[in-house]
Amino acid sequence: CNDVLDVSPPDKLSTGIFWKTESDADLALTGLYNYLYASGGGYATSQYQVFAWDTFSDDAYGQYNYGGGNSALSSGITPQSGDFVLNYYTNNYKAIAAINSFLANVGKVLTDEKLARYQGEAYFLRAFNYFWLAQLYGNVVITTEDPFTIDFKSTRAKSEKADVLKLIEEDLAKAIASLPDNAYKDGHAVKTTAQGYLVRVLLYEKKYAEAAALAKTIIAGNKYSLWPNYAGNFYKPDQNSSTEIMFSVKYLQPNLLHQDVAVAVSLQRWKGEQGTQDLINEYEAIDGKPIATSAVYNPAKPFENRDPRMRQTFFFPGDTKAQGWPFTGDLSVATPGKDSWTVGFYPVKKWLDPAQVNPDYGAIDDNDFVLLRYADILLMYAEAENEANGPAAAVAPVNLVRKRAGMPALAAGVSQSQLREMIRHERRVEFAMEGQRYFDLRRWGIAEQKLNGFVQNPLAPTIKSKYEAKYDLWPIPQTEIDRNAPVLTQNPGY
Amino acid sequence: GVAYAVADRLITGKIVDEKGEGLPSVSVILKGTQRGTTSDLEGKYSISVPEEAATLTFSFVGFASQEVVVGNQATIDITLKTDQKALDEVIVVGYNSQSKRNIISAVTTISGETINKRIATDPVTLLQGQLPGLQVIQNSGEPGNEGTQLRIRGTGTFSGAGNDPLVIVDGLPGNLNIINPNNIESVTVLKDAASAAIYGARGANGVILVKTKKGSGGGFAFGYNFNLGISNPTAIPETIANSAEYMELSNEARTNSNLAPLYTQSQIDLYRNATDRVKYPNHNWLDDLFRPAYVKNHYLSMSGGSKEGTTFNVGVGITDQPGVMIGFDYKKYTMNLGLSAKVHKRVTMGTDLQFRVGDQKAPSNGSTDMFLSTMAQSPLYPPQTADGKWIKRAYPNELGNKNTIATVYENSTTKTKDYYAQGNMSVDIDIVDGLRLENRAGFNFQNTRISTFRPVVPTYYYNDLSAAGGLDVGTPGLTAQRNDLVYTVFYSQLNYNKTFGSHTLSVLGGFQQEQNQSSTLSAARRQFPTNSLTELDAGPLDGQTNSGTSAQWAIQSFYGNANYSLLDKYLLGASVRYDGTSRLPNDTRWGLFYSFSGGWRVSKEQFMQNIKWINDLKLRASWGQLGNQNIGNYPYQSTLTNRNYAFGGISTGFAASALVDPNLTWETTRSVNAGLDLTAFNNKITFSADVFNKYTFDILRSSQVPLWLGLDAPVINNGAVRNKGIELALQYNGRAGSDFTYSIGGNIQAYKNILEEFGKTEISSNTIREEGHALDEFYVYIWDGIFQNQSEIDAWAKQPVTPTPGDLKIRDINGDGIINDQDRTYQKGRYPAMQMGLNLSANWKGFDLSAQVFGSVGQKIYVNGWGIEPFRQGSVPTTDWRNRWTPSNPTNSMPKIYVADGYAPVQNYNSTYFLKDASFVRLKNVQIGYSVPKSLLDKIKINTVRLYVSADNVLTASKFPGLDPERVNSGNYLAYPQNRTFTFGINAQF
Repeated sequence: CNDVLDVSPPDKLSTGIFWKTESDADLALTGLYNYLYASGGGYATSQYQVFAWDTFSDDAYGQYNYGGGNSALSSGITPQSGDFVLNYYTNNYKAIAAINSFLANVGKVLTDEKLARYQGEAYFLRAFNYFWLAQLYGNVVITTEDPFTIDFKSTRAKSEKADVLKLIEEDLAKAIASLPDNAYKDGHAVKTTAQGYLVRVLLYEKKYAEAAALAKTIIAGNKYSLWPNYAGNFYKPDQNSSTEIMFSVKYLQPNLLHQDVAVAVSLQRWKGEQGTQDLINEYEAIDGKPIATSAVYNPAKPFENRDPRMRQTFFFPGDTKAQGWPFTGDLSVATPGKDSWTVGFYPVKKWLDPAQVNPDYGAIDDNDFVLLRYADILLMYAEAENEANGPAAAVAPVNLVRKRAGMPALAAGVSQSQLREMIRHERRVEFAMEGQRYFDLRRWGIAEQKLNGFVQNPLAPTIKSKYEAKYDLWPIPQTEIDRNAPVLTQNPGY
Repeated sequence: GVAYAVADRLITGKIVDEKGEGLPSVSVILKGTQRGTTSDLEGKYSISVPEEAATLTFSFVGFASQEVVVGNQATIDITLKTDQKALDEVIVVGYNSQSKRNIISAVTTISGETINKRIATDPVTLLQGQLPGLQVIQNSGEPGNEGTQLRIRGTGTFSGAGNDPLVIVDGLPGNLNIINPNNIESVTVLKDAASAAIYGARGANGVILVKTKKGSGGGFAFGYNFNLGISNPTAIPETIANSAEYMELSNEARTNSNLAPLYTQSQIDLYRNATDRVKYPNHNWLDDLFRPAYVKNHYLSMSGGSKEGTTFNVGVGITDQPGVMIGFDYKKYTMNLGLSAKVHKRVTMGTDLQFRVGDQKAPSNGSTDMFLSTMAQSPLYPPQTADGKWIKRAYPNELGNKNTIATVYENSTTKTKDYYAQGNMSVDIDIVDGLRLENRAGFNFQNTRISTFRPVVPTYYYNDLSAAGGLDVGTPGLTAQRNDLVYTVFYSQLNYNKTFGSHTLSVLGGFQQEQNQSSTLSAARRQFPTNSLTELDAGPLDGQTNSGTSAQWAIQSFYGNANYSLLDKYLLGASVRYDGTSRLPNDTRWGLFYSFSGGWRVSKEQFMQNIKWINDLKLRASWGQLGNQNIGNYPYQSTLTNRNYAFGGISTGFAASALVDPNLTWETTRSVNAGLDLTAFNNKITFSADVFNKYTFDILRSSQVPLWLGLDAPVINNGAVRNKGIELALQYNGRAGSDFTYSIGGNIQAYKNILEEFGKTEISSNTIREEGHALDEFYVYIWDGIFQNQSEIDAWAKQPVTPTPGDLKIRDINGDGIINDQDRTYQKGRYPAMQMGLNLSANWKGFDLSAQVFGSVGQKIYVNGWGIEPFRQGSVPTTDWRNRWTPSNPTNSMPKIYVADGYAPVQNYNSTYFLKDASFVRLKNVQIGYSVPKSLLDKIKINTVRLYVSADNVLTASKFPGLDPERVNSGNYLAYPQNRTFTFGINAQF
């Protein structure tokens, strides 16, 4: 009568019957991409809800501390601080475990080219995850084995950042070798996605010549172009046809929605993240000159005659429906101090679907979080080329980006160091609220200089941000140190 | 008595003791009914009985009861003898009953009568302080969600297997909550392995046996109980409700916290100098949140039986229990039926059934959110304007949380309808003399329907009444959920009892099978066209979701028990159970559990015969091993998790993300117990003492896997916890003069908890799991007062968050001049050092008085957030903050005021600043009753009427700040309060 005691979960697939047919490879590959929906550990964030990363920088203020940026800039970062130190770490290793398991098993059901292609996607995703770890924590544990074959009681030391980056380069090389040479479309990584990420990695490693050469290959491949409508890269349906997006986290309403709440609610209605005055000041006047020197800039009308990307990224006092302000009634005219708008900052417009009206609890949207755009390839190319070979060939790609934005070309005959500053400026305004700034500042080595003592709101000048040099590498979470003692040691300074 | 068809006649008589003196207050009951009377000062009594053959029962404390068949007598005089056999009371233990006299394991019991001296709607709460070894903590006074926690002999494990004892209702696993307290005959707690081993894999946390009321032969009784209680919170924090003071404190706190002040001087002056207090109020939101609640209980019962051996007991109860916090309401309807029929001279059939319908309403975000959100409102605005606009804040730059008053009045509500039935049917066959076959089949059905509606409600800013967005109740729409539980169980056992000369033997053996199936179904739609449509079909299709699943487990068991007694002096017992569970893999699923016990009745020995004051003295000891099977339904089975992605459409994906240990086995508890039972001084004093050592090993726990492995940890058998403790109970029944009887009873329990085996130390935010320490002992920084000035800061160890004067001083434990993780240390107080109960009762003529004191000493609670920390989400500070540190008030007991939204110099340290002493002693209950004299009642043919007044949670002594100290959880300071209730009631028997 023992059958009474033999029960199995009626809603879960048993591992015993998996990896038997070709279609299992599809199910498992889809499972790997699902890790892109990873949580950020805080309210209204995921790790790849990229704009949350700007609250770690001088670009944005996180008034509810979504993602932890506000607390990182006020209290500092410790091995036990906030959710972010722990969550991003575990997110990436969970994804890596699934990828390693996939790589260990996919050969059981696929062969030849199809096998290579599926492996290629997995290698890309592994590099993608390790690159996050390398950028945030630097020296981390490397694991490439099937996790189910590892003794779960074992401990492991971390590897040098250089070795982590070496693995990333190898994985990306394998991905590039086997992924299809199409334009990115449906969410699956393609060859150019992997190439784009490799440019990013090489630039991070300051391997300028290699980075420039690879970026040039992508440009020459001619699979992408700048989408004429800059803002369209950030919401549906434009995102579905944009020729500029090279990798993104894909959502589909009504069932696959953003973590927690829609962007239109957390960002627009509650104004969880708002641009700083410092960033607004960075936008040039329409004549291509900084506002300090431009003749067309009028301090009495500070939001007119400016780089069009400014108004495509933020809302300003007095905006109405004509500028895309989504609120009606009492709130139909944008007014600082009203409806959660913190005076001295600017509500975000980027990522807002212009069709939304009065977004509030229950509103849904399904904007993809864009992780890599062709504009980034152009600016990375410009940066790498300028560093490797000087400004000669590096100005043109910057001007492409500026032209699409509606800005005049750079002045001719700039020096290498002048162009370096111009590219840094261009990246800041082109990618505002796209989560690049924090990582750019750190890789340029100027994060402490820019962020420590930074006044987020000029109306509250005594409140200053905190950034110590050691934050260039985040601490490894205390739990991980404890569980791998004594072989795993903490990053310096913590 | 409306219920009597036949004419009654009067019986009179006199009751005397062995010396011939009249005995007052002797209870005279018509057997099988609740009809009764008591003897007067001289021992005289009179009682009316039905014409038909009846039996009278005479009983009095310290004397042996007597039963007399009335026959055709009109006068019945009685001589009561001192009771030598008070211990012959039969109590239910495991699968059979035993006389208390012969029990050699750690068992404690309480009658329904004693339990019901307090008035409460949840029977679990009534057990508090009554049974040594059983720890009862009522987490809150929230109607229908009291969150009562039961622990028998401490916290034995940290695993998911949990610490909840097994509850057996009328012989089968059931639920104590659903029983109407009035229907409880007795509650027995099996504490040691010897008594619980018969429950094998389910007994590790102890067992609570509940017996419901049965009828008895010959008669019919009808009873009605009603009471009305008025409840108020025992304690709520005192807050600053003056707007100008609030604004100034807010600005001070924000300046201290390096934040820009929110209020301008002109705004502060507007409020300070206002004459229009509608426009510029000093609003105390807590006055809107709490109200007195009127709790009503009705209970109707009928019981009795026929001469042929059919007995019955039926009860119907109605409870109407609104909460002291607005938005909470609970209505409960209970029904119970106990029926037994002797259908053949050898065959008895019976059934016991209990039904409960619960109808609960609560704000959709729950009570803690209600409380903290209300605290997070400034006094600058009321919840609503006179013309009905709901207010979000006074000014847009203010911080805050949702308008809770609006959530209640706009029906952002979770409605829970709960239908619960439990019961059993039994057939007992006496095969030959002493040999009996018992069969019992039972079930629990539960069906819960939960619907949560979240409306769309516009809100406004009070200063200019401009729009402020929707009320924050979460995603608007409806979620409807249905949970079903079907549990079935049966057992068959053979029972053999025989006395051969000086040998007495009882043996039983049986087989039991249990199956449990639960399922859940849930669906949601969002953004309904209006707030008045609240069913799924009314909502839009776009964005609708659904989910559902089911789970099952089963367990099969063989069990047996033997008890042997020689010369009534030497007692031996043994139990064994062999359990197989679906929750463990095939190879390890069967487990053997067993116990042995022995007792020695010392008072029967020759050498004790000269010690006259001892009536009975028994020493006993036991040893046994038990299991815990509540380990998740499929802990050893490796499965894939569904992980989809939006490749254009929705693609289905899977990934394996959890490790499993295929060699899982039972978590086991081994326990040793030694005790003694004493009765003395003509049975006026009873005393019992127990010491125990309970060791739980092979604890089922999540392993600690390194994070880089990227997999969820497997459940493994690893870890051990020991609880050692002592329990004492003493009772004295006394009498002064002829009219006054009284009793005093007290009990004390104390235990010590040690985590003996764990592996790598794990530190959570404020607790630690480390071998050699109490399980989850507090592990925090020591708070050493307040920095008074900069030179004091400079002289102190370097704190990681640079302090300023007025911040917390943290102790440098290791003396290295730097405060870091190494400076956290152990703090006692995770568990009460001691708990005690004191029960008093007295009777004088028609009056009765009872009082219960309960104390719990030595526990601490770590609390933070809204209410105890200032300005969390703008929340109002308590009046304590008037004594805050300021340069001109150099206190060491409070820091300077701050904004508790991440103020690092205070909040970055999990320190003793947040660890509060939650010891308390409270007068739990006082009750005064008056029984209307029989002479008055006879005229209206009512048997007894008792009127009473009762007060619950009357007085509390505690150092815990602002709120009630009795609670289960650390964490958020604010929790739904406990109730202080004054009750007026009447019991009538017809």
